[in-house]
Amino acid sequence: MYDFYFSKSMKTNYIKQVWRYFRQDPVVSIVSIIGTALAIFLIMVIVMLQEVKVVPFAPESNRDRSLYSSALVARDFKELGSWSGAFGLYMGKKLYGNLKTPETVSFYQAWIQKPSTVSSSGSVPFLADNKGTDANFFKVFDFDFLSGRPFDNSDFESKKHVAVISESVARRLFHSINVVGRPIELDHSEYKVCAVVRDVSTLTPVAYAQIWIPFSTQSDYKVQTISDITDIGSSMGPYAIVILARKTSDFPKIREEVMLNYKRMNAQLKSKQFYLDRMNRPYTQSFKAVQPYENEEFSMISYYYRQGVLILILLLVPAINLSSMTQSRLRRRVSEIGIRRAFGCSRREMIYNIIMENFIFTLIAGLIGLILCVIFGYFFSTTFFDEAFTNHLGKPAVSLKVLLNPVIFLFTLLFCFILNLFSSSIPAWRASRTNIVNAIGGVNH
Amino acid sequence: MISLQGVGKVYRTKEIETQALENVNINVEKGEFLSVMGPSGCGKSTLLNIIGMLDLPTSGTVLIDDIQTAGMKDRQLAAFRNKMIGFIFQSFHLIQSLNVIDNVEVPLLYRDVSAKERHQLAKDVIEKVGLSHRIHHFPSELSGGQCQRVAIARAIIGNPEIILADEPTGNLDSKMGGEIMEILHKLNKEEGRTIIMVTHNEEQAKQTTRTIRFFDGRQIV
Repeated sequence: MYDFYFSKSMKTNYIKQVWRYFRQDPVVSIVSIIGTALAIFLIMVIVMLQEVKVVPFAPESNRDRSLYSSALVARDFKELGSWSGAFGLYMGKKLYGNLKTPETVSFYQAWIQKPSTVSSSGSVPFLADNKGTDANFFKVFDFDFLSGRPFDNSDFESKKHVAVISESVARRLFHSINVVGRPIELDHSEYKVCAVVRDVSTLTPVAYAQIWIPFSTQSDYKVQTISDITDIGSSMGPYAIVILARKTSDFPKIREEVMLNYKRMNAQLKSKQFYLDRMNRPYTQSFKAVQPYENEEFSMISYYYRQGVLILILLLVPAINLSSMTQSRLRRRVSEIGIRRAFGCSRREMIYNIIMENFIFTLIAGLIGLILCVIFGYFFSTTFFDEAFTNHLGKPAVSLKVLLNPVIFLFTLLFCFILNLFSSSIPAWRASRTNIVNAIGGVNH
Repeated sequence: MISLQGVGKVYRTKEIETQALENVNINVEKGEFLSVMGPSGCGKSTLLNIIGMLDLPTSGTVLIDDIQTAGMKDRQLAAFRNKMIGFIFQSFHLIQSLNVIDNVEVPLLYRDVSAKERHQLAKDVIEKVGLSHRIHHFPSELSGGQCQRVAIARAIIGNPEIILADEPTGNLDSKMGGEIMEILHKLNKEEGRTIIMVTHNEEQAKQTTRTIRFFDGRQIV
């Protein structure tokens, strides 16, 4: 049977037709395309801002099989209130340090409070973001090592003053990246460079720093025992935990292990007049990326609902614009619609025709929107993403590869498709219902 | 080929009811060249629209090639129209945004014909109406006679059995009108196409096989 809708000749015909309308009314067509492109661009910015927080990219290449716990929530038995903060070492180790299911668990400094002063002999001191980590940190994240190797567990345990530094720090200190073994001064303590890694984007906030040192060498490092836990404050500290699962299907098992650890710990804490609230931790990357407060319940469903409403509104604006453009274009084409129908075009084919023509318009707009996104992301990524990641000295750089993620591209296409349906289905349906005789005479009813 | 039995058409608006056709009974044989005459507003064009399935009768039955057209679904009607009927209008009704060849190709867009074949067929019929030198011109660049030739080419490209021509020379001077009539007679005589033509021109009507006349929606001869 002849497949009108997808025949090669019809596809060519739609494109030719769109080109003709474009030439007939270039101003209206350009305004329509640019308006739609900007709307798609805006939506894509929202999606991209979300995506860079969630999609895996180096060195956080394992985001999809990582779980995070960056806060300990404690409540007192008298229900006077709740406290939340990063983990003290004792609590962290007891709750997460003994997990059997994951591939590895890493502890790291939850935040970079203030930049450290770094210098080498002969260089001018400057500020750099410094993060204390354990040795497993370099197993969870795939840093691009340009020279040397990361510190290991024995370095960590022996509190060896070694540092992994970023390429830009290495160049600023030594004008070279082959600097393994060279001494640096970090906040008045001497460290030796053990490795140089490619710069890390602030868009990978867990892995991000410019210098990574064993937190066992930091002044506030203290090995705790249960006797040190006297109150809520003493159970907290500066550490966060990242868990690398072997596969995502291990997440429930890992959470179960964590839950048991919380139960055990809470049993021990009975005499201390407070208990720990797990609040479904550890969290996945996508949950962590959007969760606003550490000690408040948060629903992903309502978050996505809010985001969906926002995108829908953004989508409706160009849809209404395109719809009225389509309607006015069809009003001018009413005679053509009548002629086509007289010569054998069915209502359904007519609707399909109009939707396809409109789809090509929206597709062009979508591609322009996507190109705008890439240009913006590439040339203006610093300002583009700065707002969300302001506190660091590094750049929120993101590679084109991440922005050109097929998922994002499919999103654009999906938006184009929805936009097209919103904007063209009603005018197309109305046009198809026009009486043929009236339509040939140019009467639109 | 075409049989109309008791066909009536009433146009209704909120205020007024107009009887455009009343109890029309016509039989047209295959290969006939029928002319329809009558004063303006007597229902000639309505008759043509009903035969061409562009409009539905309020009463009566229409048989084309022994097939009952009433009750056909939109898709069937469209396919039937595409296969059986070619229209020629007084005001040509070409698509202004398409050039000559693209206008002529329109009926074949709704058939399983490759672009290459479509293009060749269009060239052939354009040659037949003597417009080969104008295939890439747009309607706005053509004279009235040339536009009507394009319309004829469009009407015959799908090889329909029936051609319905609504005052095809009405907007043309006598010379161009004569040329168009010549083409229509050729199509009728040489290719055996059945033609129904609405006209006000007695001379042209005389040249056809048979003439029927209308007055106030009624067939009087």
